[in-house]
Amino acid sequence: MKPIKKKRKATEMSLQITSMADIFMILLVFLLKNYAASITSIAPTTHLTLPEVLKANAQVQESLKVEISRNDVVVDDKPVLRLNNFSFEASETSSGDASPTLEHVFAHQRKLLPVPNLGSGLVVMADQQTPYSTLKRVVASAAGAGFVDLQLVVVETE
Amino acid sequence: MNVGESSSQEVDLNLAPIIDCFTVLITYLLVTASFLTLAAVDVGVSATGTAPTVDAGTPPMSMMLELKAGGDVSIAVQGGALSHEIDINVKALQNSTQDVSELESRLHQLQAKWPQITDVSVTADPTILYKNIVEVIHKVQAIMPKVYISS
Repeated sequence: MKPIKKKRKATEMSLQITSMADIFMILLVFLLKNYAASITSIAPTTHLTLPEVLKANAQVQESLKVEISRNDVVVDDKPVLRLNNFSFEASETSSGDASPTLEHVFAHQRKLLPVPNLGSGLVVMADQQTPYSTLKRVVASAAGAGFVDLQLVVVETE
Repeated sequence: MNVGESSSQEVDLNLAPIIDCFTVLITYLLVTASFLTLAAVDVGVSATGTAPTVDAGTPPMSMMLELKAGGDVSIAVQGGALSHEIDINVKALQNSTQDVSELESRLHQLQAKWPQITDVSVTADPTILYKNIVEVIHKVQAIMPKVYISS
C-alpha cells in the first residue's frame, strides 16, 4: 500500500504593517518637530527645582546661561564656584556686592562673544530656594560685565 | 509567445526595516524628550548707587517694591511732582507669604493714578526666596512690563 502523502497547504502569513508604518511616521514627525523646538540646550545641568509660574510671557532665548544650585554656580555648563547651602565663601563676599571669581568669569565670557559689546542677555536658572542675597551677588557680578538683560527661567504651569 | 496574457506582478514593499528604524528613532526621541515647558520672565538690572550730587532737574516718577522678611511688601513712589515719597505697605498673609492679589490691586490703583510710571524696581530682604521674588515679579509684570532687579 502506498502511503498517502498529505499535501501541506502553503499558507503565507503576512502581517499588515502599512498602517503601523503610518502611525509611526506621524509619531516621528510630531516628536522631531517637538525636539527641534524644545529647549534641550537650556536644560539645567545641576539638580535644580525651578520656580513655577502660571503663563510666563517670554520664551527662553539662546544666550549665556548661569545656574545657581545649593552647592554650585554653573556658568556656561561649567561649575565655577562652590556654594555652601546657597552661601558664598567668605573670600567671595569681602569685596562689595559682587563676587570676584564670578566677575572674572563673566568678563571672560563677554570677551568670548562674537561682538563683545553686543549681547547683554543672561539666562538665569536658579533653584527656587535660592535666597535673594545669593541671587543679588550673582546678578551684580554679571551686571559688572555688562550682562544686564536677565531671563529668569521658570516652569510654566497650566 | 503568449499574446494577450497579462503579467500581473505583485510588488510588495518590504516595510520591516523601515519599521525597525522608526522604532529605534521613536524610542530615542521619547527617552530624550523634555515634557517640561520652560519659559522666562524678562527683567533688567537696575544699578544702585549714591544719589547724584549735581541737581539734574526734577527726577522722573519711579516706583520701588521691597519684599520684606515677614512677607510684607512695601511700595514706594517718588519723583515727578510729588513733594514727598509715598509709602504703601501690603501686609503679608497668615502664612507669612506675600499677598499677591492685594499687591496687584494696589498696583492697579497706582497705575491708574500715575500712568506715567511704567517701570518698577524690585528689591528684597536677603532671606527672601527666589520663588517668591519670581512670583511677585511675574504679577507686577502683568501691570507694569518693565521690571528691574536691584543689583
